Amino acid sequence: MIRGPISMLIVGAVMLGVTLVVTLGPRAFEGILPAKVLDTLDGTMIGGFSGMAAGSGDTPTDFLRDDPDGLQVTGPIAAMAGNRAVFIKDVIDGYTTQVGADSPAELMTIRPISGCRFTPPMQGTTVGHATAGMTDLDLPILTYNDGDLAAAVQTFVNLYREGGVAQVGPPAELAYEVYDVAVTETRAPVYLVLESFVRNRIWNIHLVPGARIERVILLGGTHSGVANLDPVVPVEVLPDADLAACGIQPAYALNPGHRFFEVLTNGTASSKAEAESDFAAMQDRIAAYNTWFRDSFGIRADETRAGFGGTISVVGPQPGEAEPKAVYASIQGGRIRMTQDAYVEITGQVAAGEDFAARVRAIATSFAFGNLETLRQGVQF
Amino acid sequence: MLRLLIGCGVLLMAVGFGAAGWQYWQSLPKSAPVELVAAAKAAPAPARQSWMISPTGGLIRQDEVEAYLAQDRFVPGRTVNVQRLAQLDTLLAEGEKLPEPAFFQVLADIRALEVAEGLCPILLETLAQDCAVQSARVVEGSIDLVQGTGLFQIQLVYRLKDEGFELPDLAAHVLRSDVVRLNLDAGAEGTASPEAALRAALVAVADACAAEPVREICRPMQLDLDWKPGQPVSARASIAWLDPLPEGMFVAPPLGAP
Repeated sequence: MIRGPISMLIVGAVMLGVTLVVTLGPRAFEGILPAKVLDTLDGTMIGGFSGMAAGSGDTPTDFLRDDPDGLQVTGPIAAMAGNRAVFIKDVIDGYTTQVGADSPAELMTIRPISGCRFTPPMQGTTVGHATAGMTDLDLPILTYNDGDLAAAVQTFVNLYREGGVAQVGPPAELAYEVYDVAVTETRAPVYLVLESFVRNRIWNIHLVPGARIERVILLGGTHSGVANLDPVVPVEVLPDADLAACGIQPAYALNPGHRFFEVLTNGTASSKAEAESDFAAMQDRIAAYNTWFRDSFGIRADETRAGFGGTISVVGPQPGEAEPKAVYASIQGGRIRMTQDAYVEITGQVAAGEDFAARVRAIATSFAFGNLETLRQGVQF
Repeated sequence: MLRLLIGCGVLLMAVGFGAAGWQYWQSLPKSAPVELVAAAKAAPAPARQSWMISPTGGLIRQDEVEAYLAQDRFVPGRTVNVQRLAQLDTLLAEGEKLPEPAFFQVLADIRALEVAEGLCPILLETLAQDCAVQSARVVEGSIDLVQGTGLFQIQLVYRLKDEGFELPDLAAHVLRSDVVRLNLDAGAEGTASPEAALRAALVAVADACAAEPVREICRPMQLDLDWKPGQPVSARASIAWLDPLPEGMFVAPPLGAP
């Protein structure tokens, strides 16, 4: 008699679990499912990858789609110089994207450089250049300022006025997003130029045994830093605002399959004319950026760039069969040097009442003379 | 395996039938409490005409009809809208200091009710039986960090004092309306404060209602007022009144109207 309901419960639980994994993604289950299971799921369509291989899946380029919205990574590949694709497993051992609970042992604050000129690479140095967009690999580290708090208090007030209750947590963009860089170059010291297109970024460096880093340059974003870098290696930072103040505007060519080119070739007369004008302006910006990049680092930005989406770039050659690969360095317990805003918090390590949501509520309550009910306005018609 | 399949099927059926049952249950007509039904039967409320026509024979919009007729309660169409500039430090409690500039906007929004105080008393003194602040907000992006000011948008709702007489037969009247405008030069009487400007606007409304072409039961409907210190004041009010049905016009009530 009792077997039937138990079977139903088991089947129901399994179905619910599968549904949650598929809808929320494996990263929502960090700390619940084993890391190996999560990594396996993450490499499938359920995880971060949006589609299947274009061909047989034997070559890394099968997992790089030339899409109207830009290059799309659909499998476990990394970007090498010139945006060539390589399988992640062929360049790094122990790679994982499960970083959502990784807390560093040490956070050190660094500041952007003053002025617009970087220390140039030394003679005989290899310059590596990686770019990174959104990865959704959020660390449990946030940084924010009064402006972020004020915006959240306004959201809190609007919600409270509507429903009489409110709870506003930190927006996702306040978290530092991780992007991994595997350095496989061992013949010469490496001068790393790392360029971010998201607000807050931590570059996690993984070295092949014998690789040496001469200097790290962090371009773009609002706040950025490096993890697992030898503390003696200098880090120079120029965020978006300072780049703009210096008249530097990063610009790269669009992928051939981008929808822009569809308009350029098949658009109506007016849209085509506008696209041609935009294209000319784009070419000028790319040329200007390449010139600045070459003057600063001795290489062109577009030819050396390693970064087409995904979560990891490689600086250096692909290790041979018998050669050692880069070793994954976890952020958990590691060291991070980063620029930061007025407030920094590590989720789960903040004293009660001092996290983002508590600050927002406290400010709203204080502005409302201690009584949030005064936020409620109006009569019922 | 067979049991798993059966279990899976039963689960899906339970979910499906459960959802269907829930929808059916939700779609059942809600029965009113017995006392309310009995009370409704015992004292049927007299049906008031809820439609009005314009002098050209068109139906007046329902929110305007409500704003004119429904004086027993607040209605959305009968409002006083005041846009006024205010110093942010007037929002502070005694001994309190302004926060960091990043918080000026949200502080002003939370405390916007403070700058609305003083407006309802003017309405209550003159024409309103009841008045309430419907909303008070700071206009987004209006904070002047240098001057320490913000622009506030305040909306009041009100209902008029009892005029002491019954409405005539609405089917034999049309609802006419007009706009009253008041423009005061900077420094003129009635520009010293938003309250003074509101009082001046209400006087202008009262004068317009007393003027010759206006016939029966003139009522203010909506009033908009802009006030900034040391600036000209502008106000715009709509008023409405009843006129007898023009000769030769016959009205047919809309279908289903009381």
